[in-house]
Amino acid sequence: MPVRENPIAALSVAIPQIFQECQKAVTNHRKNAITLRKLQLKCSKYIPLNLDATSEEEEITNGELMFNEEFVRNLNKVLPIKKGLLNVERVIRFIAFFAAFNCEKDNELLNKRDDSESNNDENDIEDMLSSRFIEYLIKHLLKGTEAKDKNVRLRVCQLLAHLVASLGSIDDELYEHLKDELTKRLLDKEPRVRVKAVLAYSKLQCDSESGKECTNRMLKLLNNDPSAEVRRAVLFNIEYNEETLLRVLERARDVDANIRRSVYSILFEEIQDFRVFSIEERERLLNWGLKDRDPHVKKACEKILAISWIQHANNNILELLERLDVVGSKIAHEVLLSIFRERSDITQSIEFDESFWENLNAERALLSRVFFEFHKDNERRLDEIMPEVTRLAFYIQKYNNYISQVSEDEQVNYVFIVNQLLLIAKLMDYGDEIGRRKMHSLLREMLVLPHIEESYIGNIMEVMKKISINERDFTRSMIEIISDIREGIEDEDESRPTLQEDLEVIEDMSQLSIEPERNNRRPVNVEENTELIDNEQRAEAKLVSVMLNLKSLHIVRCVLEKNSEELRDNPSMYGLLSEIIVPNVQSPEPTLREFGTHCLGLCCILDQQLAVENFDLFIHYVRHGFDTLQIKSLMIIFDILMVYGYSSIVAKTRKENEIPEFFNECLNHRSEQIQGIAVVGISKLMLSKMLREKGVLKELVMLYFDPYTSTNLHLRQCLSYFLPVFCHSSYENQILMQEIFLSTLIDLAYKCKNYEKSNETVTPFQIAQQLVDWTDPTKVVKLEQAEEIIDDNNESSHVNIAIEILKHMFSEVDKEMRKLLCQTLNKLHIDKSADVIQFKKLTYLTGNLKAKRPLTDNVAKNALNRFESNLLRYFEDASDALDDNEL
Amino acid sequence: SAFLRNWAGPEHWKLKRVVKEDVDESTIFISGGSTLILPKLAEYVPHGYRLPDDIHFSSKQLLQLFLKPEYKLRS
Repeated sequence: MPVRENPIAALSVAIPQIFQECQKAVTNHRKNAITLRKLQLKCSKYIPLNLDATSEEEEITNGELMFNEEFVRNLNKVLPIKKGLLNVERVIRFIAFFAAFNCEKDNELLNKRDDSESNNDENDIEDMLSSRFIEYLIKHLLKGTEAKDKNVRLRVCQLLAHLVASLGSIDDELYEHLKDELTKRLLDKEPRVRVKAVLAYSKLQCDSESGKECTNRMLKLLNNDPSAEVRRAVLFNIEYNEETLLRVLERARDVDANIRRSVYSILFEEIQDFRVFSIEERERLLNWGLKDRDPHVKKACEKILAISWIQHANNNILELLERLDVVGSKIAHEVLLSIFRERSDITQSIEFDESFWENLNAERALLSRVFFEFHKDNERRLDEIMPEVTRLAFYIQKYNNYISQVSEDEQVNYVFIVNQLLLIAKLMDYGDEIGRRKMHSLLREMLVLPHIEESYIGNIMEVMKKISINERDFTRSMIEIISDIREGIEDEDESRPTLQEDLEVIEDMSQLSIEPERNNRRPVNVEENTELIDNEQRAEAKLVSVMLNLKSLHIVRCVLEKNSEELRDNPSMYGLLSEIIVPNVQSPEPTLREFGTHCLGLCCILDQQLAVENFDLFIHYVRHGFDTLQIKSLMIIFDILMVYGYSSIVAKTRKENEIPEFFNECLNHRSEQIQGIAVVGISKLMLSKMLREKGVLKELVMLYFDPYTSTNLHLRQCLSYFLPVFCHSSYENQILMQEIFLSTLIDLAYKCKNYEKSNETVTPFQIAQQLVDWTDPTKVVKLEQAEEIIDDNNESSHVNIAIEILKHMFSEVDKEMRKLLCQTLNKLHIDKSADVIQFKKLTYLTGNLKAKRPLTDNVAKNALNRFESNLLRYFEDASDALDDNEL
Repeated sequence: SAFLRNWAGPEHWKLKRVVKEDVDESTIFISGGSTLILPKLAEYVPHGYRLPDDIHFSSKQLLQLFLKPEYKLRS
């Protein structure tokens, strides 16, 4: 063996050279790793000439040790260097590569030795070389996990991740040591260090108790870490199993769009069969993804559906739908649209032949309905694939008849099928008179039959409207149908006067619903019925009557929704009001009262006089009715105000002061729904410039920032749309917001103080910044007529707010508040467009404030100084405009 | 590769800084103590950095009536 040259002597030249080389390009890493490995082997085998037999082992180790020491000397230089430098990244990559390469070579040797079965002492040293080297490095790096320099901590974690990854197995003691150190780094104050710590820590996951603990700790980070980068690192490096995948799924609602998209790509890669998720989970995943506002997330979700999931369903859409439970699904419709768009290859082969229609199930019914809707504009295609009107009518009848023949569990499926067919009927062309008549008589029959699925009514009415000649014709035929239905009620009503508990009500009702026919018929049934009916039958009769009333109201509602004619010009509709609607508004049965009120509201939209007359009733119901009646009544109030104009209704009902007060009542209502409707309704009125009330606007802003409204999605999401749109669409609106700026900010800041410190609360300074943004005149969209811009440009400005704040500072005593206001001053947009007088005012006030009410807090003091020096800068620029006398 | 980088002439020539000196292990590994961790990070976050359910509120809802969504409002 040529052991003449001393490899130890070469170390201090060769290793730095390799570290230098590897920075140039990754392409040379392999070559350098080979060289370095040779050197390492030589060193480990090197036996100095002055060999003392007894210390042989020690010497051998020393050769290896000296290699390691030189390696680490070079490695250390990299540690304090800032992230992002390409050269450093290459060194790290080289070290990682070398470690992996070393292990690979050792494994090769190990395999060779196993094959030849030749036990050689020398080989023993070699096959352990790589792991001894890596363990040496790990132990070295562990000394730096708590380094003060964040770059060192980052590099240490980064290298540990690579090294642990190339190690096949690890000594228990070292594993625990690593785990302890890295656990601490998971809470490092630097997010970038945490990211690398996660990478290293994730390598410690395994099936042992201790390894599972790692996975659990990572799951916690997924929920708790504020840095999206950290959550993303966890998402990609956590072990995927049934439990963790469920938590991965939850991240499909992460605030970070990149993470949301990643969830879908991970699931795309990791999920072999999407049936590992329950139907609810599938539904949630699709609902979030297909409706995500970020197009990339949506795309990633569509990719799962149109490539992976459909493939698992044998490229069969119906099979895919079966796995979504279409009857209860809110997303199946979107799913189909996605697949129609992405996979026309599959959808082209769908055949809507006779056997398809004869064997409908929920999936087929939905598929055909959405498919036809999707091709709505392609008349020729539709002609080819849609059934004839008479056929369709036949199928509607057929599947509707099944309902009475199947078990209760199955009924829901048939109801679903019939509804899909009714929706298809809406798309049909009714040029053929025979088909039209057939459909009309079928639907009429369905409506008149005593038992009708409530969910049909709306859909049937849509078709009826379509096949009617015009609105009048539609209304007339519907009124006929209603009176046919009511014949049943009148029969039932005959028995009612005998029921003690209903007596008053019936009297009340008969006063309002004057019906000559009814009196004629009365004697026929009365005697027989009153005697025969026992309590049970009475209850039954009452129920039937309620159901029939409900059905009539439902139909009346649909008729009114589709009507645009003034009620007074439409005598038959007016008849419905007195015969059906008003009696039910006064019914003791809550549902009837609610539905009656709903219809009365719709009538009010068609008749202003009626609206004015009943306005007090609706207010009364909002204040004193039961939950659903309150909600309906409040909706009606807003609709009336929108249709006839706020000021017109206020004038006619003489409620100038009462209505804003009533609004505030609703905004602070205990019911989230009432609050939500009030917010949406007021937003409509304010955006259409019908309502201009400072107090109400302030209440809206207060609610928006109130942590207690965070679960009220309607309220929050309406306001986050409305507030910026309101302020940035018109100067006039913005000035209103400027006028409430200071008092709102102060009130909100005081409120914040009282809340418990939690992650959900927005800080007062964040609130201030949002208010500043809303009131920023430069953000107003300049689409309006030039006049308003000229008129209001001078009025809408941040200068007024600044002056107000400064004035307030003289009397403000709260230290925190003073600080907040000083900081807010610097966020305001004040530029040369303000006039000289205003600048002088600001400067004067600032100077005075500093002299008379000096600030004690340093942050506040600095903020005010900054504000002042910015003001003075404008004076310099505009010095020409200043008159000497004024100074 | 330095040759490749500096082709554009003397105005574009740059000297690359090289770390020559050894870094002292005891300096780079000097401990930052407990100030490096934020124990607050381990606390449970109720909202979990997740978005609320999106009700897809849009201008449409502000331009229609509650009871009669198809009704056209005069703007």
